[in-house]
Amino acid sequence: MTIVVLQVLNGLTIGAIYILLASGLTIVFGLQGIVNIAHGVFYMLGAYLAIGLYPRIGFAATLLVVFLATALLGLALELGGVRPLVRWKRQGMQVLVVTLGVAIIASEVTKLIWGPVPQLSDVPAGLTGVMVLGPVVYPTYWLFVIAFTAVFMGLLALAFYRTTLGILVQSIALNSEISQAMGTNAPRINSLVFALGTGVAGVAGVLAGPILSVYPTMCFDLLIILFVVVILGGLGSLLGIVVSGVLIGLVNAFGVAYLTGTVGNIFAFAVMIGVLVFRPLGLFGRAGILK
Amino acid sequence: MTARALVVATALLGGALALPWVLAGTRYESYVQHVVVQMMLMGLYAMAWDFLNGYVGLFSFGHAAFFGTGAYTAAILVARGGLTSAPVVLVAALAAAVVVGLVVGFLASRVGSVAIFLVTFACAEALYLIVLSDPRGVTNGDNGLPGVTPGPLLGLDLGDGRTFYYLALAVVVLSYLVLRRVTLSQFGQVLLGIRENEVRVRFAGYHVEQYKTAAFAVSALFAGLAGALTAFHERIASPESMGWLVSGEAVLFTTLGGTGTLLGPVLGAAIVVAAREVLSDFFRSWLIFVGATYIVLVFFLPSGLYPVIFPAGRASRRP
Repeated sequence: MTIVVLQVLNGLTIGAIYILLASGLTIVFGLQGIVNIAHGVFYMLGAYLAIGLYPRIGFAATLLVVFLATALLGLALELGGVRPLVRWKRQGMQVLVVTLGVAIIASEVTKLIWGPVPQLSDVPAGLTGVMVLGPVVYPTYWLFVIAFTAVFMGLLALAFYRTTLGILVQSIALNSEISQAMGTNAPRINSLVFALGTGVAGVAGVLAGPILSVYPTMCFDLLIILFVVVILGGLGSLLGIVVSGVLIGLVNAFGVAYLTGTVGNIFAFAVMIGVLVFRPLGLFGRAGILK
Repeated sequence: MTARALVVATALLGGALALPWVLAGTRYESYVQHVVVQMMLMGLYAMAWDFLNGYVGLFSFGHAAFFGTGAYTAAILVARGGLTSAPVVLVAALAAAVVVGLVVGFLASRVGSVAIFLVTFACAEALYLIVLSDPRGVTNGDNGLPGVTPGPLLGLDLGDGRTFYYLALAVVVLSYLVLRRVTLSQFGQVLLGIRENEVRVRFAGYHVEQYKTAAFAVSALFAGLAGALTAFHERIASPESMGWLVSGEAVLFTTLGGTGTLLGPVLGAAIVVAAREVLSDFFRSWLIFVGATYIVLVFFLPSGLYPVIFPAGRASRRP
């Protein structure tokens, strides 16, 4: 029984990281219909920056600095690589190819700067140790990651449904042309949301550093599972990524515990394929609507 | 094909036919032959991708699944099963690739255009992980499965470098003619219709999902053929042949050469394979060039080299 509870907690922790990463990816898809392959790069960058920054400036400041840095870089990518192509009315696939190129270059440059050997960052000082939850003893930091994601998703939902920006984002996702005809500055909001998404990816990298290892191709390895989470939940669906993030996290955790990591991931793909056969738009997907 | 393209094609074909004779006896013979066969087989693989992207408008990022299925089926039958008959091995490899193509096509034809990218990517990655996990010790995990020595095909000894060279050349030329014929057939015209306006084709009474799935199967057939021949050529099936970089190569070769041209991808493959031979010796981070090429192409040369070399010669613009 204890081991099952442990695996559920492991699944929630890894699922929390998936959810943080998938949130930016799925909202940007809902808004602009594009997939950002370079999303994983910001996650990787966050993890590497945290290794260097945390011992110097502390954990909270690291989170803030990494968020700002990756958000700014994301903004640069959006303005330089995405917006011109959208303005020229190129297909979404061409944006995807550009971000793929960026991701390949970033991964190689990372290898040159930090070397190919995997690293692990330190657990923040205040969050070391374990917590006793009844019969289960669990690392405090991992519980912190779960709590952080829960709070973040709560705030995101609140922002989404209760703030002006959130309402405008929904209107663009629903129908960009009409929304712009009503006076919404869609390109500016798209850039802003893109940058926020990459910033959150950087934060997810900081959080994941002490849990998963940090290496130059991590931006691709996690991306693939991330795609499974996003498709399974339904592209553009926030509720979807929460449900499928937890689901895939659990599949992963139990796969690692009872079989091997690789088999766990194969199960994740099998779950996705099985769902797609019956629900092509994913669990909560609805054509053209961000929900 | 324009008159100019016909002249160039004849010249290239003549050059390819003459190459082994020109090089015979020199110390470059086997190396150049090896690299040119790589160009042709990767060109065939990219041609298969172009059929799907340029003529049906479907963007697959999982073509390594078909390429790798062809390679591993051939490798398992030869190295594990001890089959020596090349025709049987090739037919089995093609059949396996088509089955994978039908499954992936079935899933991909039911989702939207960007989701096709994600679904094909995920399917290929699942296969990659299966190969890597070495089920029952069949695939030999991340070491790859060596010992793929081709048996005789129609009395030809495929172990001989020059014979294999001419076989690869014949296969690429025939595949091009077949794929071109398919695009001009009624089936191909419906596919073009799907590329241009899927909703209208649906309203005209065609079952779009079935056509897309069939197109996937056709593309998988040729990608699997390239994979099986590559396994014969390299004498090994490596897990990298299932990896996403190989899926990306199809995109790179085709975008560089020209989408919707069938011949452009061969040109793109030849350029990239040659560049890799030259550059990867000098730069360990050769992939940076690949990444930069993706970006430069999309911004400055979105329709590739083929329309630049042969203006108005784009096969896909035919009525």
